[in-house]
Amino acid sequence: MLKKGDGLCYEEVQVGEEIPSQSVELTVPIMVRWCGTAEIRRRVHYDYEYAVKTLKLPNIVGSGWWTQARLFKLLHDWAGDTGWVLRIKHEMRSSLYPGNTVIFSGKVTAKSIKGDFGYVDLDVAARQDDGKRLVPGTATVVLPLRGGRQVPYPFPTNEVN
Amino acid sequence: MSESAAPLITDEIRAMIGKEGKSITSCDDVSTGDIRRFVQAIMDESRIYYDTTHATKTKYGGIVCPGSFPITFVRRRPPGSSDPLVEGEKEDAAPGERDWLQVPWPPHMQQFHAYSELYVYRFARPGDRITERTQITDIYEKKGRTGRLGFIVTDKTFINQKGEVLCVERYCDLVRE
Repeated sequence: MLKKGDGLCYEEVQVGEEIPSQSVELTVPIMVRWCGTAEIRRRVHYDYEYAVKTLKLPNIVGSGWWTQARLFKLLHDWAGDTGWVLRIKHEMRSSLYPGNTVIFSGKVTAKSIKGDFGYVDLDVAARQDDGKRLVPGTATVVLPLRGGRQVPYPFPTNEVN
Repeated sequence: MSESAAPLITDEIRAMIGKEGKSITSCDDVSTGDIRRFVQAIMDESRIYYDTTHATKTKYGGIVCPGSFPITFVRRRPPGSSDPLVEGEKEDAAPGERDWLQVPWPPHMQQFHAYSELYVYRFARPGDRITERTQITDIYEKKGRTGRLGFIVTDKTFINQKGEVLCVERYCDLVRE
């Protein structure tokens, strides 16, 4: 059973609260490092001349998979290892460009208890600090109930609606 | 009936729902080095990704990968395959490719990525060999402001060598006029 101090629990979360945001100054070296690590070959993510001259874009664009991984980090850092980041959805409405600070944020929109655990829904987003670009999304995090049993790992696949 | 008034989803397109693609298995087993590079690239220094002593005491029982790790890991180019950077490949393509996903939309329509929805059940860990299985689960259309919109939804299930499901990415592309 969980004890006080074991990490975030369902009862501590309030609908409407904003979770701690995270920011990254997105630079070309960071984008290139990601492309090399993930073996991303699409030139739009690292080839400035191709992006600007051929695709007529303002710059190379951020990788959606990097944004997805950063959103996962945002939620995992908030939920802690006693919780579980079950679902993240992000919509590629805009591209993120280097030379801007990207802010990852989340806001609790709903919560409910299903069985032995608490399910928390959030709106999440990655936006540039100039306000011009936005990658919106939603997420679901599973949290233990205070005094309840631990969220299982691995998380059962049949628990998902 | 004008082209813009005709249904976008033809019988041929609708018949692609349920179609499964060729499985793709990572050309490498997951290593601690792969995890290190990934978490450094996303700037996530959580100890569960590198500190064996710490990670062993957690519910994970050892070092693990971040939740979305499998998605890019399976896409590595296997040894002996053609080098896209030399041969001028225009699109990022996983080895063994995705021709099966080519929906016969009208040629004038432009394709975009709409959204990704990731469900995570288990983290990959060192030694895992990851396989991606893909299936088209839905194709539908809507009317947009500028014309018809077509959507194709594909579920990509990532499993390890034991057949354990790591995560499922629901991937949606859209086409529009």
